Amino acid sequence: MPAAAAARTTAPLDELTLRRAQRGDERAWRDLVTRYQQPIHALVWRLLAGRARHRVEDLVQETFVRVLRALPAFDPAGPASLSTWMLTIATRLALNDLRRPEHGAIEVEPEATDRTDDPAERRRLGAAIATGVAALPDAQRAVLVLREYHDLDYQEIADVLELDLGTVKSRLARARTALRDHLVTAMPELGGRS
Amino acid sequence: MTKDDDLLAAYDLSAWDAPPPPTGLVDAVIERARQPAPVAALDSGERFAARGTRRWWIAGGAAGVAIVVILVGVWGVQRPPKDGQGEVSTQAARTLAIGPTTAALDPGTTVRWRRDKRRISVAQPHGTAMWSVAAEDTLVIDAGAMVASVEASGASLRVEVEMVNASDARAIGISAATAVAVALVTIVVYEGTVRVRHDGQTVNVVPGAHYEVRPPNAPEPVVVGGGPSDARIRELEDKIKQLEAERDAPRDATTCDEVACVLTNYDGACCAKFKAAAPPGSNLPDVLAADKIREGIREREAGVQACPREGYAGSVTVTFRIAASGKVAVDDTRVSGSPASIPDNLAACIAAEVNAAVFPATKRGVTSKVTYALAGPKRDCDADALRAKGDDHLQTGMDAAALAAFEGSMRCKADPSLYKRAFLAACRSKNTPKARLYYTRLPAADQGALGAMCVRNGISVGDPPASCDATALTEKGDEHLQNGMDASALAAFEASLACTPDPMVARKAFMAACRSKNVTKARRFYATLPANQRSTLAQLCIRNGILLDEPTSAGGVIKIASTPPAQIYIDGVDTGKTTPATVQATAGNHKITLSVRGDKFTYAVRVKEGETVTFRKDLQ
Repeated sequence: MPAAAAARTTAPLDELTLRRAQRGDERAWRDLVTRYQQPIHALVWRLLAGRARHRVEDLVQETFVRVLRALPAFDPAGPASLSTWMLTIATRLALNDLRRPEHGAIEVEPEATDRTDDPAERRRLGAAIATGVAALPDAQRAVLVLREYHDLDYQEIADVLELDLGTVKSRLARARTALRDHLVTAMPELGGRS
Repeated sequence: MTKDDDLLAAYDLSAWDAPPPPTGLVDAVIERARQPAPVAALDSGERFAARGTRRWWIAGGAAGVAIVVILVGVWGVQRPPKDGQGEVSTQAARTLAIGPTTAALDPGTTVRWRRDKRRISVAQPHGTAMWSVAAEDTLVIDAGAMVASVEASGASLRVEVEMVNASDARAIGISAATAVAVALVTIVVYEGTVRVRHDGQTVNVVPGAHYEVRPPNAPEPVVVGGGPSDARIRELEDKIKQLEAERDAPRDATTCDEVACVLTNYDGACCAKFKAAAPPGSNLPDVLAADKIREGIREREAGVQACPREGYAGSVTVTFRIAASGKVAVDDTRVSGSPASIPDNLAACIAAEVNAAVFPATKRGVTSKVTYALAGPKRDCDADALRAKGDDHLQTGMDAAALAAFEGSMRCKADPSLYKRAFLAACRSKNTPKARLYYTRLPAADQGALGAMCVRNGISVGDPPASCDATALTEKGDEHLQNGMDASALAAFEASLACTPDPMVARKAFMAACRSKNVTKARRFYATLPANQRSTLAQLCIRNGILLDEPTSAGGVIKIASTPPAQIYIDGVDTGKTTPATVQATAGNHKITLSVRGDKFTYAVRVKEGETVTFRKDLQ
């Protein structure tokens, strides 16, 4: 499991709550959204890599609305887990949004979080990663984020993005190389350790 | 690790942490989700068709836009969707859109609809639909051939319609002549107010409430004849709850029936007459047959062969005792090697595999012995190369191949450090037995964190005896059963039985296994049922298309042959068999349907207890 994703695993929704949610039970809907709001929000936030926050919020809401409306047709015994299925919907919505021409190039807002307990070097690293990831092409960024931050394996990424396994591997390799090159420049003192 | 994975190893990517979700997100999502879709939803087929014509529409360009603008101007936004009608029978779950009103249809649902301006008339003869009725529409559902009608506007409701077949109709006291016209209807309202007309009365059902429509003049259920349908099973479950609630109350000795007594473990004085009929377990075999032992052991052989050899090569003999319950008496298992003594870890691994075997219950336990041949490593066995290969596979997401490589490496050379890798590969490839096997070999300090990885993949590992709560697990199973989550119910009941053996829970597990069509588990639990309950409870499985191995005490055998070979249905249930075949059936009248290339031929046959009926047809 990628180090960045190690602490981010979300316990799966129990089957009973899922079944209730599929029946339209509002309490189960709330449980579902509450449980998955963090990873979905984090995914969209990273895929948009610095877009205005209201766009992120819109897309996260849209993701969950679509999830809840499509939930009765979701097959828990199917090939995708619930979380992967939701990540798929969120990823596609985010990528569609990124294709909208009115947005133009991404204007990077490099600050990562408002946390003040991070040491200065960590904050710098976070900002450098944000800038480096934002500079990646959308397709490479999606592969990198899904792998490094959401612990999807190669096949799951291929399914989410509807790509060949080989394409996933090559895009991931290119994304990692580009990000590494960026970080070596931005954080030379860390790059020397690799 | 592959070269690519090392590229970013020097950087802590978690430093780029996402902010928390905005407050109020949940409320905003729920509010939006409750609103009707802004654009009339198309079903999947219509979407596909729409996508295919997109270029044509683009080519239409400004002319098309102008036409739309004119139409909007002329007709206005209040114009109702176009009138029309249609019929849908679903094999899989799908969405039906009738203008702004939509329905999520479960598999096996039939809906016929007609829109006339704002009024949508729907016939839902059977199946389950989740209706979302737009505020401007009025939906009238005729459920079950005049049994009930439902009227809703601006509401969200679930309508379940189950037809009562002939045998069930007899069971609830309705003549076969009228059985085709009755249905059990359940309406659950989530939003808005829904009016239900039934039997000359109108009832307003409010959000959060549900309403059930039973066939007219139906008496309390009494089991006679054929096995129960799902609806009957639910009624029986309700009966169980009622009986449990009344467990401590004195009861009239004439009010209980055999099924209720079976499912309440003969609780109460009125059940005594049934309990005395035959002592539980009297129909169990004395000892376990050799083929049953082989069958149980064979299931564990793969696990035994996967045990790390630690350089050992030779034969291993395991002596073990199978208790009457069918479980292996763990403390009595002995493992010995030949020609050399077997390493402790290998012996423990093999013993654990054998102890996990499960056999049918018997009156008496039996001691048995099995010998495994464990081959030594191949001459060209390269543990390091296999380990590196496994690492590569793991990094490229080929988790099953990674597991095989790690196990190959461990067979070459004992290496406890590979347990973590093997565990990870097993979790990611969703190999539950292997995940559990390697979990037990992880250092205790690592089990917590690594176990969570498996949970993410839907695999529960570890053995939590300290928190084992049989009652809670049983209650969870009951709830799953009521919600139709039969496989989950079975898992919960099995977990409960692992905590505390309980014949009552075993019966529920059998019911869950039948309903979830888990043939293996159904047969396993069937073997544990007391003899005097089998004939009644076996009906559950037969109705679900599961034919149990052993003939029931109230059944016989039908040998069926045909020319040409045909698919066999018994009482409308696909047996999964093709002629020639032998099937078991309860005593009484049955319908045999033979299906050849879509043509079906139905015949009546009478089965007498303990007898074999030979049935042959020329269908050419």
